[in-house]
Amino acid sequence: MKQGLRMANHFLAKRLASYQNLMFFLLLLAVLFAGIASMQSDRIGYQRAYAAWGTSDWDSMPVAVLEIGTAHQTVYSAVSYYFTHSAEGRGGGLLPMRFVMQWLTFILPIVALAASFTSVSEELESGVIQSLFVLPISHRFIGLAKLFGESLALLTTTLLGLGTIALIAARALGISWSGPQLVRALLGLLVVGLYVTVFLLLGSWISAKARRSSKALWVVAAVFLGLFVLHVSIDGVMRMRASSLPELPAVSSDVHLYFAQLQRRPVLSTAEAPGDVVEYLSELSDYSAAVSERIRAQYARERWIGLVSVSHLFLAVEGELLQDEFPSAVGIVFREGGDAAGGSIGASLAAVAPEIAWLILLALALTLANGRALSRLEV
Amino acid sequence: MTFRPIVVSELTREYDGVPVVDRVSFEVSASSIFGLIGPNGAGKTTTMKMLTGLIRPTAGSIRMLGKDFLKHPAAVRRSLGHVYANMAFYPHLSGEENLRFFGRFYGFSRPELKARIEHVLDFADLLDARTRHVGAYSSGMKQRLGIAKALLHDPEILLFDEATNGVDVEGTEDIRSLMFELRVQGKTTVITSHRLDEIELLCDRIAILDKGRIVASGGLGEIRDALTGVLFKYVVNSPQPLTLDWGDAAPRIRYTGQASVILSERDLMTRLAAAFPTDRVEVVRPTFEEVCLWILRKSHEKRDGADSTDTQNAPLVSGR
Repeated sequence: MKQGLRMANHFLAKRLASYQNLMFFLLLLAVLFAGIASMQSDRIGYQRAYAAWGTSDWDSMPVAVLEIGTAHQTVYSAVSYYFTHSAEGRGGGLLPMRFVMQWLTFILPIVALAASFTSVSEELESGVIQSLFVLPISHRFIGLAKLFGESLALLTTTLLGLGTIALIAARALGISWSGPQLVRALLGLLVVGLYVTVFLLLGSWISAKARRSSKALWVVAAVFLGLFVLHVSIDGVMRMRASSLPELPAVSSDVHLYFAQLQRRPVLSTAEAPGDVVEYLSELSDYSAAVSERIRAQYARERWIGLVSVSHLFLAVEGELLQDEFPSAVGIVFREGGDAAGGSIGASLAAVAPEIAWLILLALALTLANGRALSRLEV
Repeated sequence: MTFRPIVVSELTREYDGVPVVDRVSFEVSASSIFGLIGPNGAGKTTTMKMLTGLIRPTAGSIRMLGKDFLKHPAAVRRSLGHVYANMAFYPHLSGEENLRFFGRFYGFSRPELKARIEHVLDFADLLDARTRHVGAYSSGMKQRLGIAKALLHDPEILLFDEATNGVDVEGTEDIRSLMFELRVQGKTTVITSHRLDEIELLCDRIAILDKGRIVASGGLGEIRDALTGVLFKYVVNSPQPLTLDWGDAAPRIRYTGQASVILSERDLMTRLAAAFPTDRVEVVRPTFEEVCLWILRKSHEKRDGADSTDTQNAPLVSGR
């Protein structure tokens, strides 16, 4: 055990100090910054668009000018923005994570596969593996210790990246995570960690089987392409089946104007929100909950999707954890005494437990496959 | 009964059903150097990799220091040092850091490991280069670092697999000197090399491998002596090429180097004496290289002509 930890520590340090790790860290920061920047740019875009059009005639402004979409999205964005700018101590906000998760669904597998596809083949090609495999430790143990060290390095980098952004967001946007949101955030991070681990293990297994980095590269590229095609195909099928979503609540001119004006206000006072706005938000909140419920119900009916498409599984879990953020944000910003995202932690955990269990099972199965491949590896 | 630290029995390794090492058996005495020689593809490295546990045998057994290697690989590796061709290390680490990394797995305390590293670096004459990144080492230095690594845990058995391959003349000489010193220290060593001069210089006993089979084995003197009356070598001090009509003896004659050196499988003394003045014909002992080449040639002939597998597997020359 001690020797295994020494070995893992060596590979952890080696990977942490590698330029690939630095590149990944920078990429992750870039993605997360982009997520936050896109929110900011939405706001700026709204401001400019409305300013250019003029508030008097805003209702006739084509949506294309906004380049965003419907009025509901305007509201969503406004709520999101004001929510994250709300005063400290009013609860936190995981709402921005909903944007980021969409990006991470594919970026994390790419990075994890890129980090691990040379894990074994590189050592084979350099010849160092001969020196490792004559050490008085079993080959399986050496391989798994190496895998553990390298995985830990990547996970550390991932969590460090997310943590850095969280701190920046907390400082710059005045977000403070606490209570249920903190637990959800930690659960979300756990799922991110598991998701990354699954792909790291997959990449390492491919590396051991392929033996050559060039061959392993082709295989991981094919695997990723397969994952993407599967994701898009399943999305298509789900959309077709989800055609019976409820109607969006109607947006009155006054309400739309209110939100248009919001874009130019530095600080929102909840007292300013007219009654019809609050009513609309309530309807929108209900709508959002209904859509989430439909999606959840559909996912519950078709839970097998997560078994075959790990990217859907990841999105479903993160979606489940973040689904209350929008109504919660509305509550906090527009209703006095609003609270952080509702729902009990137990319920959230229970809802995602099967998916987390499946991810753990996948990781365990891949660990065993790696151990088997490494113990049979001949140099 | 003499204790043999290495006992290899009927070792076989097949790839896709084709044997690359075929029922190889040998024993290595304590504090001796055993050489495995043969042409490329003879199965030397495959045998060596089985001895280090880098690949598994299809059949057969390996006992090292009385332990079954296949059942207790980790325990046996604790007493094993391995040096292979073009040793690889972590290039971003210094020689000393590489040794520290590998040395940690042999259960040394920190002061012990430090002392061992100091000792082996000194032995391999790398003290001056200890802090330099291995990526900046020459091939000879890397091989010497490989020897240092192999000696780090003071193993009883050392395996050198083509250890001087790709190393320049000076580096080769350095490595050979280290091997000599190890011999003096009483390490039990197995060497593979296609450099016959190296083998002759270092080994007490050898096995000649050809197409995965041992075709000759024994002490160097034994192998030579076994060919007394079979292989003859004459030096004919003639400035002219030998253009005599040798009749049916012609195919058995091998000319090496100058035309004045003849190797033959039969005694040609009478005929040579008839053709040249006696004082110009000298019978000499074939070199080790010539003996090996003859054995390999005979092995090829035997394999090409033999039908029986058992006959094929019988060694041409076998010492005690």
